[in-house]
Amino acid sequence: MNLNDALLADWRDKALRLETEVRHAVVGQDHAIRLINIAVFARGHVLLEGDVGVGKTTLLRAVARAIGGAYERIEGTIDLMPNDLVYHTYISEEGKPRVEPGPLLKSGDALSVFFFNEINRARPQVQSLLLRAMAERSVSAFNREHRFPHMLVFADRNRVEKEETFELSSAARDRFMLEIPMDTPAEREIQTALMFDPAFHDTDRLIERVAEAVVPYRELNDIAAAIQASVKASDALQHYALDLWHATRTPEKFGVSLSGVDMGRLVLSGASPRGTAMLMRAARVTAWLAGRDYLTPEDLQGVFRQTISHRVFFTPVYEMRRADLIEPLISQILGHVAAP
Amino acid sequence: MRAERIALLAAWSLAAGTAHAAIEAETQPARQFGYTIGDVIHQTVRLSPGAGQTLIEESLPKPGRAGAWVERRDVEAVRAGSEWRIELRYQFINSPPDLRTVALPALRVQLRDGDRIVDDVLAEAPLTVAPLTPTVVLARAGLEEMRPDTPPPLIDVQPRRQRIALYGGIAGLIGLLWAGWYFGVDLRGRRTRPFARAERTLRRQLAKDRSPDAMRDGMRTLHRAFDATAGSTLFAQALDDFFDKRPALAPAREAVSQFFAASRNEFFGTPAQDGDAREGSFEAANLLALARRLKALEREMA
Repeated sequence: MNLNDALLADWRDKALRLETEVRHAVVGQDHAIRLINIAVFARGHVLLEGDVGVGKTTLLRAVARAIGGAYERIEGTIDLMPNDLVYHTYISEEGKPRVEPGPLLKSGDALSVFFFNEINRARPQVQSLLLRAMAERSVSAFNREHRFPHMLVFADRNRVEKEETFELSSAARDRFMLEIPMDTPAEREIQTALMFDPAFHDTDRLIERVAEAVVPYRELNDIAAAIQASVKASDALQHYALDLWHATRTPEKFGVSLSGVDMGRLVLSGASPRGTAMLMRAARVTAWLAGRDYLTPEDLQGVFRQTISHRVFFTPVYEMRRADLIEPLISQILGHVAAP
Repeated sequence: MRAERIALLAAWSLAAGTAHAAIEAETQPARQFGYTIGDVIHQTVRLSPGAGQTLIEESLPKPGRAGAWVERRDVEAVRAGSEWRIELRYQFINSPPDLRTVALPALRVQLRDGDRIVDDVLAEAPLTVAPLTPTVVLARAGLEEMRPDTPPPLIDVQPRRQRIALYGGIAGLIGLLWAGWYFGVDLRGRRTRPFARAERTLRRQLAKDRSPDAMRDGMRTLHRAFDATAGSTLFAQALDDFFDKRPALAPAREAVSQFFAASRNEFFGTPAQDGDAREGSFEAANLLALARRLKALEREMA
């Protein structure tokens, strides 16, 4: 075991500690916590999707607190404009107009988590600004470029309402590494605790249970690169990953069939190269968290749904039925692509 | 002498100038009696025009009704040397109430003789025509006014029956084959017994070659059999569920878990170091034994 291995093992403990800390505040969401942890160490942005009140915001706040660094949040509203993220103007106490950096710029490069609440309520202009911030981790403002190399965007949206919302464009969704669905915990004991334990009713107190800054956020980028370099993919696995990718483009060639769907005309465009890159990044982190230095098909399967399902686009006829079709399609792809 | 003959000829031709050309007819049938409605008569007319005379073909009668009794069916004039043969066909189209004498119509043709046009006439030919039935019919067997319908003729259906049986048999056979294909009747155990097939393939694969590459192919073969049994691709994490659904295979559970672990090491793990015996490594014999065992268990499951 060389130094690098020892360092990675040490960091693996830190990563698991992060999960433990978050679990102090959020119960019954272990899978979602693991996925967010994967995104943190793969340096990918996360979009949480779920019903109102399942704990999306609490979960993201808890993770942000455990990561440490500067944390900013903004609420998506229909009248939010891109400038509102960059600066804000007001009349000072001396009666003079003042311009202050907005939430995105305020913390400079210390920004570790930018939390966008209800992102689908923000206008497409705002989403466009975010596209660059997410892809390049920089924005231009006040005649210079601002960089936030440690920033992760956590966004959430509820899937209940459609009024006064703007559907995220495919380009915006492609920027998110993981789209994590969140559901109400199914276990009865957890449901009882959520209902009757007063600790879960005060979110601020709940968040305070989470230890702050359990991982040094400024080192995350380097560690993420080390993880990507250390986890190997064998020939058989590369073959499997490529088959998965091709199956999102031409599912019918892999024997995938959905009842009542003309498979040849279903997919308009399959997963993007960026999407597959994110799939592999997330899968490598999964393997690392499991203590392995090589990838297995299960690593890919564990994050395939969350990385790929929002990157497959259907032809207009079937796009209307997306919610009904995407889940069976992903399951069928996983069930039909064989390995080794 | 010569002058005499010319004078004689001129005198004859003068005499003949007003004389009609020779015309004669014969009919077929030759009799002049015993005709009834529907009968057809051929009349062949031979016309020999006089010297210098030519037949005006337009003067020949046209086909069509010729009087109350007959219809002229067709008229054909054929020239043979100086003679004309005119073929006429008549049909009786009327039935008299009692025996009666009627006539084939006269034939009048025109001949051109220099500037003149002369007629030549074939006289009408009398014939007797009889009714088919008497006016009053005494109702006796077979002589009623309306005869009963004749029974339909019987056709020999034996060859058709044989053909129908043959075609039906072929169609039935095709139907059976299709149904077999459609409903998955599996004559060779291809779909219902994947492990049996895998075992056969493995024996063949490993008989000649036991190199690492061949072992990998063999492992893949067994993986495909697992996939086929499970109905979708099977990975180690789903093994518990797989055995819960197929208790008949459970006795092999431990060996199968070892196989999956070995396969993971082989295909996805880090390459083995030299002299480093890898944990759970799988020999060709183990692989064959596992396939045989699964094949046996699979038979019990069916």
